Amino acid sequence: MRLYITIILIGLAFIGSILPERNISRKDRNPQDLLKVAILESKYVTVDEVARLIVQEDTAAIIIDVRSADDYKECNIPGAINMPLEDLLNPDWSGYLDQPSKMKIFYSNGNHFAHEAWMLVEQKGTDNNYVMRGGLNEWFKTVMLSEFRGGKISPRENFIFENRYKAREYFNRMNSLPDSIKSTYLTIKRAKEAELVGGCE
Amino acid sequence: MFFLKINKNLLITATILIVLIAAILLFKPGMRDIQLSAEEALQQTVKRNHLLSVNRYKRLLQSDEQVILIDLRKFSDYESGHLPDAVSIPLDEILDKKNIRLFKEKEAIKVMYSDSSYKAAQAWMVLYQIGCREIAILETTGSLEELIANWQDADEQLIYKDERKQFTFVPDTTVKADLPD
Repeated sequence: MRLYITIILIGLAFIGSILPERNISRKDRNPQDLLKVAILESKYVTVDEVARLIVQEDTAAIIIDVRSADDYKECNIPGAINMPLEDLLNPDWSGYLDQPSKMKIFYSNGNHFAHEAWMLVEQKGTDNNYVMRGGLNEWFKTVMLSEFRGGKISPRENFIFENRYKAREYFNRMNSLPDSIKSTYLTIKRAKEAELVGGCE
Repeated sequence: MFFLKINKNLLITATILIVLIAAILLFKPGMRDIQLSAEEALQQTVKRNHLLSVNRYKRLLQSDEQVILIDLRKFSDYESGHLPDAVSIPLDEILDKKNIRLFKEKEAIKVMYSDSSYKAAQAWMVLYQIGCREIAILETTGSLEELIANWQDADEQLIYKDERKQFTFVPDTTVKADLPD
C-alpha cells in the first residue's frame, strides 16, 4: 500500500517540477489570446466618437493621453488624464485602469504609442480598452480643421459637424486657459451641470 | 486507508490519468506561457531600439548579419507586391509552431514590417514576450506601396514618423477664465 501512495506522491512531485515557473499574475492574457484581440478592429474608436464623448461629458469613458507630460501640457483632449507610456503600469494608475465598466480610450500623436499602451493593459487582463484611431493628428485634421462643404446637409452630417464644432470650441477654450485654472474650471463646470440635471457625480 | 486496499487498480489508473492531464496541459499549443510580465515588456519597449529606419535596415543588410525580412500583411497583399527578399507570415499566424521556431532562431535577425509600423509593433510585443530576442521592426509608416516601388532609392532615416506632430496648437489669447460661479 505504501508503494502506491509513494507512486502518487512521486507522480505529483514530477508534475510540480515540470510545470513552468510563473512570475506573472494569473490574470495576464496568454500570447494567443493577446494576438487574437490585437488584430480585432473593434478596439478602435474614431475621433468623432471621442468628440461626442467629451461634448456630452460622458463619465463612462476615461480618455488617456500616453504622450510625454510636455506634450500633454501644450494641448490635450479636455478631460484626458496624462499617463506617459513609461509610467503606464505605475500602480498609482490602477484605480483608473482596473475599472471594467468604463471605456478606456488611449491616444498619442499617431497610432504607435497608443497601440503599445493598449497591448500592455490588455496583457494585464483589463477589459474595455480602446485606441483613438489616428491619434491627435487625426483629431486636428477631422475635428479641429474640417469644414462642411457642399450643398444640402443631411441630418447625420449635421449631427457630426455640430459635434465637431462644439468639441473644437471646448478644446480651444480648455487649452487656452492657464493650467492653474483648468482643473478648477472643470470641477465647477461639472458641479454646476450636475446641479442642473439633478444627477450626481 | 481502508478504501485504498480495495481500489489498487483504480489508484494506478488515477495516477496515470493525472500525469496524462498534466502532459496535455503542458503541450497543448494554446497554453504556452508569456515569459515576461507586462512591466518587463514595457521596460524593453521604451528603450526604443527595436525600430529600424529604412536607412539602418539597408546598412544592416550590408553587414555580415544574417537578416530575414518578414511581411506581416495578408498573403494576398504580399502577393501583389512586397519588399525584396521578404517572406510572408500573416500577423494572425505568427504564433503557429513553425513560425515561432523561425522567430526564436538566434542566428538571424528577423525584421518585420506591415503597412503601418504599429501593426508590426503589436507582433513585436507578443513575440518579445514569449522569448524571441533577435527581432526588429522596419519603419514603413506612410505609403508602403510607394516604398516598395522606390525601394532602390529609399533612404529614410527617421523613425516614428507616425508619432510626429502634424499640428500646431495656437492658444486663443482672447479666452478668459470666466469661471461659472
